[in-house]
Amino acid sequence: MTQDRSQAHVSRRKLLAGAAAAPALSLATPSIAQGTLKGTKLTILAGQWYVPQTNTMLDQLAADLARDSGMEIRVERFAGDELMTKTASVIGTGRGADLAVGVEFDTYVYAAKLNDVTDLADEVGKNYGGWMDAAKAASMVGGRWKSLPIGQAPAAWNWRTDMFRAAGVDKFPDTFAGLLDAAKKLHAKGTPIGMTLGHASGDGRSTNYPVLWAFGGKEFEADGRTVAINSPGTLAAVEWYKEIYQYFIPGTTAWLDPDNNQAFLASKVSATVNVNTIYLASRAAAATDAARKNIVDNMDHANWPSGPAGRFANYNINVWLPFASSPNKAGQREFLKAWYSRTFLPKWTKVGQSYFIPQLAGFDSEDVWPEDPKLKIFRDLNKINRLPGYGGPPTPVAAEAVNKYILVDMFAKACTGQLTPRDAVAWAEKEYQQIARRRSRT
Amino acid sequence: MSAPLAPGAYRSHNPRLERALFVWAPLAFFLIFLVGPFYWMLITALKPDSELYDGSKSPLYVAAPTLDHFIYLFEKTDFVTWVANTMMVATLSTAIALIMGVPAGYALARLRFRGSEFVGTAIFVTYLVPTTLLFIPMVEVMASIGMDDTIWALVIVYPTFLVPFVTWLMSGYFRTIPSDLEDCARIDGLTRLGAMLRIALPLARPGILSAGIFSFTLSWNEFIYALTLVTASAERTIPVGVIVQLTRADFYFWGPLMAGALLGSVPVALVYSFFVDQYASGLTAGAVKG
Amino acid sequence: MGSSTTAGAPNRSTRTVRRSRLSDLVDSERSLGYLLVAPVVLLLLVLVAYPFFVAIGYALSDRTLADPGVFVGLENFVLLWESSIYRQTVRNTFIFTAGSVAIRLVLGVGLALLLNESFRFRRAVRAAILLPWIVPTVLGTMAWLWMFNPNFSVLNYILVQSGLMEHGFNWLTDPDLALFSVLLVNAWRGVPFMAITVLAGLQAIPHDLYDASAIDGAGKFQRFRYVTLPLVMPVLLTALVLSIIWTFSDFGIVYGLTKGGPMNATHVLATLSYQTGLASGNIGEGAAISLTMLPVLLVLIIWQLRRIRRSTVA
Repeated sequence: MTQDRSQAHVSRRKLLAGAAAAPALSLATPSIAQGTLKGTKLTILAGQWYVPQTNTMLDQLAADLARDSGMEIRVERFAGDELMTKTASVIGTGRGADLAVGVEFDTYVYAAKLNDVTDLADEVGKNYGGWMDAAKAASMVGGRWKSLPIGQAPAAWNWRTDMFRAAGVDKFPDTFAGLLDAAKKLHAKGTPIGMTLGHASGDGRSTNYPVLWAFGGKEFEADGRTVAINSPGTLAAVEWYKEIYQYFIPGTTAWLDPDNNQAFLASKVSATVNVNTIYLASRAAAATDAARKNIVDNMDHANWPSGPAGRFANYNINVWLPFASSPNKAGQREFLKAWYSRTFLPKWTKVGQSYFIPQLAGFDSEDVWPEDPKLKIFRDLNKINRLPGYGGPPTPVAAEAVNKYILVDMFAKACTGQLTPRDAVAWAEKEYQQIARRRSRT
Repeated sequence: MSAPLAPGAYRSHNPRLERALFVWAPLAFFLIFLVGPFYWMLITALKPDSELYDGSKSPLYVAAPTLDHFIYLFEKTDFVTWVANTMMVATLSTAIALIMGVPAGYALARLRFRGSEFVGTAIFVTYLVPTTLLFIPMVEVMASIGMDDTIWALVIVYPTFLVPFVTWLMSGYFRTIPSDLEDCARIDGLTRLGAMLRIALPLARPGILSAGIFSFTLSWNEFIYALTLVTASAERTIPVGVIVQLTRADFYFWGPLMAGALLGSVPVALVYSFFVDQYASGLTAGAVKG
Repeated sequence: MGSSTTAGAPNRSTRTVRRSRLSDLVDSERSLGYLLVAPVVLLLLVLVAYPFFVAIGYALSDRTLADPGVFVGLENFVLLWESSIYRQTVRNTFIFTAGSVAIRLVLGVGLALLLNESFRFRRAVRAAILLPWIVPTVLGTMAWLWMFNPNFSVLNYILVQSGLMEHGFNWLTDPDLALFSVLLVNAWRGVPFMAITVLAGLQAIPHDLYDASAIDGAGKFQRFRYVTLPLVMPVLLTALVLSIIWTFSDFGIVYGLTKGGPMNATHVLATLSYQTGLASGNIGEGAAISLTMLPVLLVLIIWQLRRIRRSTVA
């Protein structure tokens, strides 16, 4: 991973020479005259990504850029919720960092305090075959790019082929009725499935929106303001969930992000929705740990079933947030250019083993996909993402609803019997309306 | 042990049983409830990962103990740095809180001056203001003086919730110390300040000690300001550092986490144990006289 | 009171002649008083009072992280009252506080009484029981998170293996039980403080009083009720008020264990305010939520102050 520095230089130059149609705003090399950024500082807030090399590559990129430009670059890492708090703090005070990793909502919630990076986005799009729709939805506010998408972390159904087979299910079901049926059989065998229904900032979204949309439900109308959650589609989704919940492993309403991983790795659940971290963790330890090897050999990934309204998924999209309050706008841009350069992004993507996949259409034909056949499906998953807030764009109102876990709680309330499905939907409607009303001025 | 009983006084029929009932049984309960989790933390910290995540193995003992998690903590994380940082912040904040709060408590207890009652009440009231209310404006205030991204910001901010506490504690404490000795000293020629410094403060040592211990612990545990006011990894305190380096996305490293929990508490408890005896003997010197 | 000896004291006349303005300052009750409280007042004015009023301003506006917002008067509070999540949170906070403080009280006093007896290893025990209070909140909470874990709970393991139950408890899953679980952990952290403080009060009680009561024929329980309890009451009440304040505004434990779930069953005002202000960026609403904590705490403080004042009128 850490190349010899001179080699890095050389290979970059080679690429430049070979890139015949290199666009003017060069993403092939960060060609900064030594001195323009010398003495300036750049502070980057990042998360602790699962695959260690994705972190070290970021550090290396920062180091290389610092060396080339004379900037002093600091990458400070924070874990999930803490990163969000830290970012909020920077937004609120206008100090503390120049760039941060955020999620797509942040673009909308903080739009007024982010730099316009449309020109950079256009170049990246041109370079890599165009941005996919989800990317544009995640980063564009009012027609302008206010953040740059890093990639999304697709969550697939992780399932134990051996347990399914023992229960008489050979393939992962492709319909919701099929999934319900499989859940019943697995439960009877003592190997239930489980989906996260707790206040989990990661997994809490990936298990609910897909169901909602597959049955035709949606949160808002196209205007992004009219609450549309109370519909037959939503009710159908809730009712399906309530039925399958009986066959879940107990405890899912308390599941935070690590819990479904732990349950799966301990062979307590036969299927759950998660990014590729479970598989990667097992694969990493398979050589020394028999239990993990067993899991690696007997697990696979599958797509969401198709419902009456289609097949959907929802993933966290990570973006680079360029703070408007940063005194080093040039440094921000240089870093972003370096990140999206041809010498970095494809390699970084590949190293991530489809943990984060940039939504660039051109990547489909590039060598950024893992060789492992069990990870191949993430390539397809990359295409079906939809963002919360649907039928409208992701708005601060939708963001607030996500942060308050309204949708998760709606399903959870119905599943646990706290409210009837109808009442649960009505409850959610009321909550959404309250948020919309409060935000109607902004 | 119990004082010798006068004839005819109540005598227990079975001192052994009584002792078991009133001392050993409750003690066992308290130890299990309060310290039990630490035993469990120890087990977890010594368990290799393969055992830890195996749902079929017992969580109560470890079959093949390993020091890997502790080693990981020291080698692969900045744990030592965080402990040092937390120590420094807690110590300095406590020192500031005591230097400011003890004299203030004395003034409120001993000296009559106009507005003292109002000031006293006002100080106590600030203690009520919750951190979650204050912290965004607080961060903005610190940002405006350029102190929003350094560990020294904590040393300034922590006293805001330590000082009212210390003042309150000490004013109550001073009230229970008779002022006679100070009056004597003043007659002898000491100024009021001198009387405070030379007479009252030494007498109040147990109270100051307890105020110091409580302040240290409160600083040691604080989280929100530690997160928002410090960015650089090298300047983080234990609560913030631990979360970021011992979790990775949706993966928690339970072994090192528990190792960190133990190392972050047992040494401090040992130090405290020496002071507990000392201050307990005199915290409410005047309570009985009432 | 006592006679003052002048042996060894400096010549009084030279002292009084040398009286300077400085010694006037430190001798006069008034100026010394102001001098000694000035640093505290200054610190609190700048770093508490000022942010506090700024925060009130937020609560009266619809400010978000990205948008300074406009003045909206009491609208935030009205909307809060209409929000079922907020009402549930208020209810949770009271139950959380009452439950935890009750446990702290009973166990804390009990433990204090216990530690007041002498027995072997008392020193070690006194150190050990401090651990829950010392361990950094976030780490202690994570330990409990793992102990309550739906799949790996050591508590459930013990319950099931010992034959007491068939399945374990749904510690953090069942909404009602989850609230109990978080308040249990909060109490766990707070018992040491209560115990140590009450212990201090107990140790200030002279033994003669116990001996006297024993001679009078008082049994263990009567001794406790008529001698111990009244004398330890002032310290106990102080510890109680502090515990209530700390528990009522507690943040770390709920945040670490459940993030307010399941289904908002464990949200307390502090965590709801944090989630609203930071996660959603609704600074105005978050500040309003925090402010609603104040009336309760204020009542407590005033009551405590009155009590102190009464007790010092001697």
